[in-house]
Amino acid sequence: MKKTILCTISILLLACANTQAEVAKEQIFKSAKLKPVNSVLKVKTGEIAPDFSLPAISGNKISLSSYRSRKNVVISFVPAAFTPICSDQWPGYNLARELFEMHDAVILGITTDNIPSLHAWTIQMGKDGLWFPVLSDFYPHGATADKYGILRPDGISERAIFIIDKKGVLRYIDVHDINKRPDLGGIIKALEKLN
Amino acid sequence: MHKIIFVLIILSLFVSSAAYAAPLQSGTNFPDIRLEGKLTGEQKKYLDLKGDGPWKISDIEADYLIIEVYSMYCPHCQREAPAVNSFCNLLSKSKECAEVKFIGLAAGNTEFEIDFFKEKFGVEFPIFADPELEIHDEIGQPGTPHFFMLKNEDGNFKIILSHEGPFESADKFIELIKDKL
Repeated sequence: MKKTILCTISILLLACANTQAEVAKEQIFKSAKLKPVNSVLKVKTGEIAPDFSLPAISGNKISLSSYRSRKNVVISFVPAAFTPICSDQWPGYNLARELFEMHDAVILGITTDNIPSLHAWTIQMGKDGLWFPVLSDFYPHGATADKYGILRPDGISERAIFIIDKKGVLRYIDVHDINKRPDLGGIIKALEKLN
Repeated sequence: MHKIIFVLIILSLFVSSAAYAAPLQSGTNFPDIRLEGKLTGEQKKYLDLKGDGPWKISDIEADYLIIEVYSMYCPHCQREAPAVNSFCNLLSKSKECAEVKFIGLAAGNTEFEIDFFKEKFGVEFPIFADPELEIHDEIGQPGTPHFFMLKNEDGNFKIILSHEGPFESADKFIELIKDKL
């Protein structure tokens, strides 16, 4: 009896896995439309970007300052794992890897979710996962997002892009409407201006 | 008892999927959507479109039209892109499908993102833009990829196939298309 139920559920889940997008639509939490921006930015272009050191899903800690003199950095804050726009945004950057690398840039993907959630979410985004580090700003909750002034009152971050050059200077900021995806073209054009 | 459990599972899946908008299905008319995009002269000739747009879908000269709703951001669309190109190649060589045209609709993608996708995968079929997802809303917010096959009935396009998700293979999909002619 239990075997029958388990088999039935397994077959149904397999059927779903074969017909849905990488992050299955049953796993996507559809939230209501949110206030486009609900925080006050604490940084501006021309300043040294606030440093941080956050745990990555790879198991180590990654700090912004470790890229100083080596790489341009694109920080991509997204609000939450398993939500509609966020679940597509990083797979797009995965496809566009060469556009970032051509400008000697690395992406740091950050959310306020914990590591296990981020692992479960991003492992579904591609056969080999993502090419860039994914960091958790979970504890102290949203501390990095708060340093940048993009922590919303409900504990999630804004959907924001920060571009930091090899000197550690903030060169581009886009605190985007949380309900929409930033244009990849705008990010790449901003990277072009760095060199 | 087993039957009851099975039915309950099916129902629960149905209920969970009912929370999503439903893409337009076979038997309904496809809206006369506004089309905008950067088309080459050859692509305009293929669809019999004049000028630089915007156009309407009813301006397209075709007995049958297949629309792939896709996004550069969708991993399935990325993975399926070479197979879609193969399908278009099969379509262009098929005498039976001589009156079947194929276009892409880039859901929520900007011009830059469309150009990048085209270049990345060597896409040759015409792609129209829907950066604000207005058309996507009009056609029932389908997941990506989604394939619509339309039949031209005196200038109105009627849906004769509404296919959710990637196709199994280019060969099998063209057989499915031929069955619909």
